[in-house]
Amino acid sequence: MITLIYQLLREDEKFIIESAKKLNIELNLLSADKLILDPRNFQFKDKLILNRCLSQFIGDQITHFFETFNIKVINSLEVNHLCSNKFITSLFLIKNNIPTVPFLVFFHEEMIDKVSQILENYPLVLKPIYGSWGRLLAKINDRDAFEGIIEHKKNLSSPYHNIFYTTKFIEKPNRDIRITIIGKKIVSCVYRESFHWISNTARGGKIKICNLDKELENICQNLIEKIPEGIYGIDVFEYQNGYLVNELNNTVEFKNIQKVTGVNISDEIINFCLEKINND
Amino acid sequence: MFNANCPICGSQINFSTLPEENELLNCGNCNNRLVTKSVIGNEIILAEAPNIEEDWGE
Repeated sequence: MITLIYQLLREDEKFIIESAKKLNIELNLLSADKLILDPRNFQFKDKLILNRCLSQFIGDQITHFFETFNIKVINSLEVNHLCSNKFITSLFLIKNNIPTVPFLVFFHEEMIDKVSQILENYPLVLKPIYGSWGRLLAKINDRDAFEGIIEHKKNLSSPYHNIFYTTKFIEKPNRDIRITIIGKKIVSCVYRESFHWISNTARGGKIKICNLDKELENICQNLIEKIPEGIYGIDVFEYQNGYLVNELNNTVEFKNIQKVTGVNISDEIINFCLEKINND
Repeated sequence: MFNANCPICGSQINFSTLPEENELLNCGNCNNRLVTKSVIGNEIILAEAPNIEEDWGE
């Protein structure tokens, strides 16, 4: 019924396998290493693909391929496109009046003084437009650091490192908020606590339960109305008695959230897959 | 019960059921991150888990 495509089976995927067994749903595992995407010999027997590839680029090729043959994939290419490029995510948030962190993109080191002026001085945060788990993020405290990091980035091999996606640094209360949205539903809401300015759990952030208040719930509902249906991890900062949505993530990791909150996110994922199959 | 040896420290790792290919696990002895490279019949071959790539993640 459902094919789970993966590169590495992590605890998250093992939770999904357990949920499928428990709910008596046929879930076939397919390692991306064994795939040949050959359109002339296309054969596929299941009704839906749950794409859990670790690599964004490999995952996108797989999703694109199967969607070409009208096979439903979760998350869809539309969701992946919205989440994987941080500049595209930020533009989407601005366009839809979702409160977000002030950001901009520039391409040349000559612009750094103008950039720091527009973003109201240092500190700033420089992020690769693609990437996850807090990798290659730089907090820039002054002009010297900005100049040095830009020079280093210009010497990295991938062309996207020459796209300087820069945001204002948001002073947070040693935590951020991660909200999991599946379909139209807010499934969980947790704090990720850390004394480091990067609070990702991949970087050691600790999970604690967070109760959604009315304001945050309204932001989420507004977001749910605007985003294509899928499985999302929404990162939110608390700022000046309000909230700023920082990032939208696809291929959501949830093992720690599931353990701490007791919310069975893997059940929710399987149920969402069934809902998509039945909506055919 | 199935078992395989850690490719790094050589200690025996036990499995109650056959693992899937490319399943992540930790060696209980050296704590290195491993992956099941292949499962053929009851034979499990383990390898060191791959390094994180630039586009990995959520």
